[in-house]
Amino acid sequence: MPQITLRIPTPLRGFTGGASDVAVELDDGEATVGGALRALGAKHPDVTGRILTDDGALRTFVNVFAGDEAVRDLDERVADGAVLHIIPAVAGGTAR
Amino acid sequence: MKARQRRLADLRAQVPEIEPRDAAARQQAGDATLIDVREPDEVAAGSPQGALRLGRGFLELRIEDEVPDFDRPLLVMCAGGSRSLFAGRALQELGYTDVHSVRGGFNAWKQQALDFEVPRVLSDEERARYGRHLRMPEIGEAGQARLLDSRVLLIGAGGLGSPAALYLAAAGVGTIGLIDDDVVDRSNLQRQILHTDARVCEPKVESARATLRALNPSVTVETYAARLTADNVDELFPRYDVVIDGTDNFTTRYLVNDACVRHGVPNVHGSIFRFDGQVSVFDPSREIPAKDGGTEPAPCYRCVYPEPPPAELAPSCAEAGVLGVLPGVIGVLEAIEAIKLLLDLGTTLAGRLLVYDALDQRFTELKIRRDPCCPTCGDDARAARAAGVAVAQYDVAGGPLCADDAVAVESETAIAAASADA
Repeated sequence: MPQITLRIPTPLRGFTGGASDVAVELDDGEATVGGALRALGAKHPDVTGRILTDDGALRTFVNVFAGDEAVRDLDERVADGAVLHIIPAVAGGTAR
Repeated sequence: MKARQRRLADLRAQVPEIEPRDAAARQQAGDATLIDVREPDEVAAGSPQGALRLGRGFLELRIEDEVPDFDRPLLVMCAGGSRSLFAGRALQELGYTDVHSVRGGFNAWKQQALDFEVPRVLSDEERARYGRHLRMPEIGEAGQARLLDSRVLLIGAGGLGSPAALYLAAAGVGTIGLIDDDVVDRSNLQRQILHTDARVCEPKVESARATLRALNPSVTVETYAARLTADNVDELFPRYDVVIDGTDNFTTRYLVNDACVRHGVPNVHGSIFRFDGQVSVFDPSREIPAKDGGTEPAPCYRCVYPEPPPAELAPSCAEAGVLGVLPGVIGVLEAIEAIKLLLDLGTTLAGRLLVYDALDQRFTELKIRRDPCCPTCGDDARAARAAGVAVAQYDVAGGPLCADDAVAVESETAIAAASADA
């Protein structure tokens, strides 16, 4: 069973109990980026809405990277040991 | 015969001479390096274009950094053709195998009506201040002169703008523009190191000017105590070589991005949240390596983040808090990218997003690619810009921004901007 690590940015760690890395195990049939995100949601239900829309699509202000390449298609396959980075748009420059 | 004349006669026997016009031809063909060994005050009155200006005093100590190949032909020039014989002999003794002295020096060069330029020469004060830059072959006198003639605009004189502005002023970036409509609040001082406790309630741009001038009085600080808006952005951006984005809100970030693309100005991006930071360079006018091994234009901010998050999903730093040191890391990385862009050094972050996690002390580098359907820099926008047609601008305040349902605003500014592009 492929094991995938999801790296959680600090803005979303409040929804993962503070965890920066969340490991999920996927069935071979579910070994896709979308499958990994759904498995993350199964462990930490509140984080899903921050990453995916109600229709299950990637939100337009969040990028997911498999290794160092951006994922365009949630059906993209992921290999055992892959690291997925979740990167949301961040506004802050703290002018105020 | 005086000792000096005897010595010069000996040197002529050892260091072959070359006519200025032959030296110029060889330099232009690229098969030899012309070295001007005169003093800075002599170079200030004129020096051949492209000559390596390396005064006689430091010649032996620095030549190896500049010309590592000992078989590279060297053409040594002074004012009249005597000092270049001494210099040429010194280079031979160092091990350079093919050294010529330019007969008659720069005086003969001018008489033969060969091309020269009047280079920007650093003052003694500048030479002292920027000495550590001058010693680096990648910067040197020419690079420092370029920095002194450069213009950088900082959006926001806050957490990111503070370290960026301080280091750019220290580095000798000649003109620093600052736009910020805020006043200094005591809660800013945890991270905004341009400001001081005594200047609470003063306009940030004025406080910033005082700090930057105290650090480096020769820097010109242009201040705009205003908010960046669609009404002033097109007047401001074309006047600068690089824009550094250190804003605190998405509306301004999209405004900065679109205007930078429109005017072909590189956008150095930095953003922070609690313990996380992101840095990149958005500049679709640059080519970056593509997946297939070729090259493709670099992405803009909108390619990576087509839409801003809704307010309820994007707490500001004021609400969420931020580690005070974090903008120091990210703002300094932005300053480094700006210097590289100004001096055309190294590989910029165009096409790469650098993500910093202070809690785990981890930098992650991610590839970011252009979106061919991006309304700001995608295929249609590029074609329109190339044809001199107005490229639609988009209201970034909240509405959806993807190509299908975005509403193009064919405003007067859009048309004015497009004609400026053309």
